[in-house]
Amino acid sequence: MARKTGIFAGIMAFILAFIHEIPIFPPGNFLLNFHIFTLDNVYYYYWGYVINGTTGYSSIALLPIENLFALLIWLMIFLIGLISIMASTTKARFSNSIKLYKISILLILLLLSIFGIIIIFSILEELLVDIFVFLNVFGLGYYMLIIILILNIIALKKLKKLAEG
Amino acid sequence: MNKFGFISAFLTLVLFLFQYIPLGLYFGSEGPIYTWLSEFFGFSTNSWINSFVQISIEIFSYQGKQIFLFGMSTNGTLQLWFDIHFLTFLILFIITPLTILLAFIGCAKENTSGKKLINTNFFLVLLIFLYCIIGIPIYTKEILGIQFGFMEIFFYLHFGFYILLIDLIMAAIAKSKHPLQDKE
Repeated sequence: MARKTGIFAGIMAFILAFIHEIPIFPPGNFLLNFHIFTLDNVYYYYWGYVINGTTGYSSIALLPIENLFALLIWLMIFLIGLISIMASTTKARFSNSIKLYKISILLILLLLSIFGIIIIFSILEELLVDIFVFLNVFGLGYYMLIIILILNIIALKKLKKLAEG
Repeated sequence: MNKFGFISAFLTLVLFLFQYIPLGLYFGSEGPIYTWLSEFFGFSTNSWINSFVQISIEIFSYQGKQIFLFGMSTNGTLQLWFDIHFLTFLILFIITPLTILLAFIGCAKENTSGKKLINTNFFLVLLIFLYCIIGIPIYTKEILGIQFGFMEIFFYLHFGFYILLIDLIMAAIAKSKHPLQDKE
């Protein structure tokens, strides 16, 4: 049977890689915005950033080599999605799935630490005044990545239990 | 299931059907995707999907002319290969959908016929790749109106070329690692 936690994590990663926001209840302005963090009315995503909610920009659209870092960041989140789904299929081998989950967890930790460091250094002065200021800066995209990490760890543990049993 | 074969088929499908990869999708009644849908399906008031960023996936780009697997875009005007160059039409426009079909069927079959289909997929992707780097430069006079020198095409590579390269690598891995379940 396919591991649902892994597939759910993969779908969430694909949402983060491609989608800006999903309207839940537009008349009440209730939208799910998948930004990683926000600073000075600029919303940062895994694929680029949006200024004032109107103008979007992505360094991935630049010519090769110039776009290397942006492309790597985007490929990481895309690969997390792909790997999580590939490792969770019914016909995937146990040994391969374990390796894929480990790679996925490693990539998530790398992304979390990269953006964590960027955010902390960006709001360092405000943090010294009010420690809870980070709650206004971190976005749903960052929290969703933590959820994906937890889902992948659960899938890995389930798989290890199955392999032992 | 041959996962590498599936990825190869999916990449070829993306290259054949899409002009760009949309990133930052949102729902709204303006933007290029909405314009295209409203023109194509006649939508007028429905909110539809749009994107903030479009990553263009042409194989080559030369002075406003973008070369795709399905045709060419000249300053926003799309033309299929049939209207431009017949040999390119035969190789890129006819063989590409065949490759996609063979790869999708082949990746699902874990037997010798599936392996044959995946092998064929590899050779067809190789043919498309070689035509892109050798065939198109030979016919640049007919296609772009200017004759390119030897290796000059490599100055104008774009994202589509790198995706095609990854596609070829995936097809090669799929060819060598096709799972076989039946003993014949």
